[in-house]
Amino acid sequence: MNQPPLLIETLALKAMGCHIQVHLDMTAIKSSYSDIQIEQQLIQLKHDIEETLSNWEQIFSRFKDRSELMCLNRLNQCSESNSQWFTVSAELFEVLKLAVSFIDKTQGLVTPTLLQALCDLGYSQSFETLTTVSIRGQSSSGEPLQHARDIEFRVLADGSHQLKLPRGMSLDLNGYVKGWAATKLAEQISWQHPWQMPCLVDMGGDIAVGVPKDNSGKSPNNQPNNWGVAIARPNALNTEDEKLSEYQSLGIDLAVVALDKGGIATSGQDYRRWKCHDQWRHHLIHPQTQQSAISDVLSATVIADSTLEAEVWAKYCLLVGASEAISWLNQNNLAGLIVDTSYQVVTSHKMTSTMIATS
Amino acid sequence: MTKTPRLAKTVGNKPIKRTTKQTAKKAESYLGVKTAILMLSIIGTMGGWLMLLNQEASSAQVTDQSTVSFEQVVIDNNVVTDTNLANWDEEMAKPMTVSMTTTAGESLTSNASNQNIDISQLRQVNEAAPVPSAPVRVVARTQSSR
Repeated sequence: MNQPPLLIETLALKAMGCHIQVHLDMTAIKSSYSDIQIEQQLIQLKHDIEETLSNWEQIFSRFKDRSELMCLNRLNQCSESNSQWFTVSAELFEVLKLAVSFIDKTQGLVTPTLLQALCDLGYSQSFETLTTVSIRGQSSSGEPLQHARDIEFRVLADGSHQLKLPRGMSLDLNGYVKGWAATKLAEQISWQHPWQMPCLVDMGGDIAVGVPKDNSGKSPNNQPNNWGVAIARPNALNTEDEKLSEYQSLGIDLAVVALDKGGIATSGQDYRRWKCHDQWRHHLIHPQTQQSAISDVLSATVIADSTLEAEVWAKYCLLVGASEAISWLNQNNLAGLIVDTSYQVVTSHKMTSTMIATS
Repeated sequence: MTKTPRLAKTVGNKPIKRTTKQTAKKAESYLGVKTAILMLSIIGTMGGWLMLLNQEASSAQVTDQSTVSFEQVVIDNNVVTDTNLANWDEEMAKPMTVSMTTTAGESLTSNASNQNIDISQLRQVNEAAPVPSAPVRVVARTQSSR
């Protein structure tokens, strides 16, 4: 049975501090529209995506002083009252509410309240602008962990979104926003756009699959739309490791998985690392120690219903360690792949059935 | 005017009617039995045919695509098997060779002791060919957020 070849168009852009690629399955569209119509539509779509991402960056960036999030943090720091309600955008409200919903599910390990600890460790500006040499960080403030569970939310009758933060709390939503944005974009393209194209949105490694609502993910030939996603081999931690050359010779990818919905995300201590006081730090902070987490997981990849969820679970796997992560993934019937600091690869049961190729 | 003896008439007619009725009843019951036997035989015959047809259909499915014929070749027909353990020859003890040929002309040689045919392999020919899945194109790579 011959099947029509997949016709995929790719839009590449840079926003929110990462390289973004939007892959659109044009197989159904090509037969109904002329090349000129398609080209015009794609230009318009790219423009819309750029506008949306720019808007989100203005809301969520923690490296822009005037972003809504940083304004909120400043206001909360200056606030003398302990019961002040702040009006925020619907997007900030939604992401923070989602972030808070995962606190109990991760035993408090994944929380949006670690901004101060990150800054104390030297990660106070965009990673691209950080030098690889030592950064002068401050010793962690060691303030007692502020419970994000105490954040309050309300929607007023006029539709405005409000939230109340514990006094002095600072928020960092970087660990959630890319996943959330990937899923949102995928939904916009495959649900709200008049052409409802199946798509895959790649936000710098956090990936979402967009499935048109009307055909439940089936392509025109009634087959589920499978997208191949490679799981990259994480960078080696120690460049002087004896096994390094052997490790690097194994290729850049560990495996390929087929995704027809949901999202996939990877979290690791192999990237966003910097030296502070002659010690390597990374951006994954353990909330109890307020320091970069010490873990035997080099990187964790998880597939979930949404990319934000996958991102949270991947971080959780890294924080709890390889052995506990795999049993937790199996208990929750989640597809996950762990690379430990000895470069050993372990997968959950469900991941084995999702993989279509391994290195 | 003669008076018809009502009693005599009545009494005289009764035995005749009873005999007729009994005969009719017997005939009816025989007819019923006959019909039942006829029905049963028809049902039995039909059932038999159906079973035969069914068996034929299922055996035809197995050998439909790949007919396997077994041609047993005994290495030396003249050798008489010696059952005396004292004269036990290990060469003799070797299982006889069975040559299997398929209709495609492929020759499969096996030992008699291994001539059990894996039925699952035969059944495989009846399995529907898997529907080819949609092509998977690798378009992205997941890694720590870049």
